[in-house]
Amino acid sequence: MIAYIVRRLLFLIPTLFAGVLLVFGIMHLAPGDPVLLLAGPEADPRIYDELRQQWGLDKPVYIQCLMYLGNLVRGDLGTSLVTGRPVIADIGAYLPATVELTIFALFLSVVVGVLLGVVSAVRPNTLLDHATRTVSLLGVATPVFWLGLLLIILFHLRLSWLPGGGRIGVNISPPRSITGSYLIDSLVTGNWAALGSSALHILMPGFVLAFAQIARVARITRASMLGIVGLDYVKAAKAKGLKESKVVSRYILRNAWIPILTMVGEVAGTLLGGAVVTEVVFSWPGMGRYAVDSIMALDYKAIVAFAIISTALYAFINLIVDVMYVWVDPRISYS
Amino acid sequence: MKRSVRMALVLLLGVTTALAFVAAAYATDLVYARPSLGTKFLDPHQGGNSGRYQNLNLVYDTLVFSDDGGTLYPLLAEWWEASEDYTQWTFQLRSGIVFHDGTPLNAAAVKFSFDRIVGIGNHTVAQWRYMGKDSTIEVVDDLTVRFKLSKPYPLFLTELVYACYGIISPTAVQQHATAADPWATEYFSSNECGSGPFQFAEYVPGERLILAKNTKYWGGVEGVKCAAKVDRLVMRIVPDATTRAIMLQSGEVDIAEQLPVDLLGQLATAPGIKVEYYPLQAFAEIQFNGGKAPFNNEKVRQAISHAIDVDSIINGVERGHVLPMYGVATQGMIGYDPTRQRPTYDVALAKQLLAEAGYPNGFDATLIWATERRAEFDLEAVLIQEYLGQIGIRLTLQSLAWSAELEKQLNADFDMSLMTMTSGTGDPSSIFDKYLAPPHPAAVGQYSFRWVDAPPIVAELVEYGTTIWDPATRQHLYAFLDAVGTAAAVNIPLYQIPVAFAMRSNVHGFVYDTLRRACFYFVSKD
Repeated sequence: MIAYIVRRLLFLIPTLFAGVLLVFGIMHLAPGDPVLLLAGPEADPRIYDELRQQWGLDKPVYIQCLMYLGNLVRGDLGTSLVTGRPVIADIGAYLPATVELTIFALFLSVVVGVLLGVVSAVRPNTLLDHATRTVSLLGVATPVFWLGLLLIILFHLRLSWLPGGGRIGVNISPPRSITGSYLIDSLVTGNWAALGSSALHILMPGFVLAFAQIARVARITRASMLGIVGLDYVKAAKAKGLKESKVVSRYILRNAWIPILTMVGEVAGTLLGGAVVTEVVFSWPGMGRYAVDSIMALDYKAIVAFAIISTALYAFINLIVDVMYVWVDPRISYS
Repeated sequence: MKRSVRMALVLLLGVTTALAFVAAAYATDLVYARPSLGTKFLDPHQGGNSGRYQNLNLVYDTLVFSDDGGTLYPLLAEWWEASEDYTQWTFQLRSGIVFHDGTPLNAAAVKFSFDRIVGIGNHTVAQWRYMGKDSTIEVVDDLTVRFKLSKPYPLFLTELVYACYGIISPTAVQQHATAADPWATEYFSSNECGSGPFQFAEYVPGERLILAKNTKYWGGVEGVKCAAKVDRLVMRIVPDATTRAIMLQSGEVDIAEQLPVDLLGQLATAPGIKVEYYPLQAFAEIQFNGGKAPFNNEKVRQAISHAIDVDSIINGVERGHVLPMYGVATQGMIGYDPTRQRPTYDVALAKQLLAEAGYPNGFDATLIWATERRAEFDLEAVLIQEYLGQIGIRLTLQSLAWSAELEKQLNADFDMSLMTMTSGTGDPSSIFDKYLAPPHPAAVGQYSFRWVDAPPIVAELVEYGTTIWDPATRQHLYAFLDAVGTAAAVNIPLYQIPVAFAMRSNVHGFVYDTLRRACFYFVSKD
């Protein structure tokens, strides 16, 4: 198993390499000149040249790409043209917010999605099943920005139950950074005000991000379980007089986990990508917003870094899912 | 189970109560929602977008300041003196002023700040980045500094008003400088050390910047700049306009900016909220690629100027909240002539002019714009397409990213463009230079919307304007130039852009001046 994990991690290197090449190519095909954008159209040519040289843009694209890869190996992602700070520092500031939101949304998606799917599969074609499927359909069909604004109007403006956006209240300083997650860090440091505030702030964006994915998980759970319900060993278990809850949890759900797990891997990737709109609507200071701002400013070092991080995270999630297959189904082996 | 639910409820109640107490402790917070802080938002000497000027004026002071009417006031300088040929400018500094790190303000700090502009040398709008290479600064004594310019510059004081001439603490810069970054640009991209009425308190990337009241502020100049009235200014980054509007309605924020026209209309009638408009020295316009046929034909440009009912754009899309605009000199700027008239909306005359220009059946053209410059352009482009269709000009509409539009302009790769234009310093010289002066021989790119075939005397008069100081003479000169440019339909000015701020009714004294300075130090809250 360890050899398999190491092999998969090694495969990540050419994947990242291809990602960098692709993003570099697209960036240089896109119209616009980042130096012109910052220096202004009537800049002194000396300053313009100096900036192009400083950012390495005076060299051919393949040299720029090679230089970037060389710096990447040393862990240097360059300096952002927009923030003036090292890109790695920016990512350190923005990535934890996205990861925290994504994990929270993933947790919601899996717990609620599997629950709804089980309920739906156990009582097929009943009112409960129809209701669950309707909610699932709504989840897939509802645009994230629309649902987000609707919830802000309801829970923030009308009911005043939840904050309208941000990650923590303005009167509360973020907790001392240990993991970058406000929830975990405030819990670990015993900062209860920060914990309460950050918990209230993550509820709406987390739910909105999870809503569509709850539907996907619920549908795959239902379909996967319905394919197993009629099998002989389930009938035998029922015939033995086992409790229905035991039959569902031990005999049906356990064997339905493989497709659900595959879906969870996909959902995690979608959540990472889908966080962009949610982050904008809920003023969540994450990587999605950082990427959008960087693209608008043609801040290519930040854009490439975003692509690398996204690719790595996606590949890592897939690896975790593959490893979990073995745990869920002992018949699977990577030896 | 029930017990644990009860426990959770008690805990939630406790946390909520604690939060309420914490909130009460900051009763004089002013919370301001904006889509971004701008690039390199706390360093006056580095380049960046215009959004950051709202921050710089709050934490830095300049030698000279101006009010909304353009009247100059001494700020850090107590008085100044110019030599007769405008090459030497001497400033006497006020005594007893300290930077936020406690370093005293003196002549050496002023020289250091101007040297830093030249030293950083990249993409700041400060003209000193050029002038400073050939000019010298002399520290006469502890509180006297003299600028010796390489050529006469009567408008030097007007230039120094700009926030990019904020004076920074040399001690703080030296403290954070490294061998690779001798001017500490990385640190000051998101930190400051000026002497302004607010000072840095907290920055959470992507979420907020908190500025605290500088309790040791020297006092400022009455009616122009003063000590802050609120304890903290919390700038919240809220990228979505609808979310900003909702947060304002709920009271979570006190002031919100950059709201689209339809939301502003709703907020104006909402209880407890007011919407205020502040004129900017900026305007929206249609630009022509003056070097390309058929737009190099004056009659074609004039025909277009008569074919568009600009008032319908102002009253329809903009709902009457913008100011009419008949030239490139905006209201409040030297050269503005209130008696000037807009070309009449006259389709028959437009058709006649187009026929006289040799295009009786019209022609095909493309109109480009960037929504990120102004959201209302999306609708206005459609209206313009309709109007020009009436005289046979078949417009293709093309919405671009700002970077792509800029590149097309500089490569003269466009027909017509919907744009916003602003005068950086508020002085007419910079704006007239863009339209009526010949291209700068040394510049990297060139604005292709210039009046390419302007008579040479026009360019000479534009140059002359930068060598005189007398306001009355300059008023006559620029009003004349504006009339000449308008008659030639060099561009079609649509309207002067005001900036709208929606705020809670209990917020008083907010001023946003024509140089894009949000003067939060005047603001108080009931």
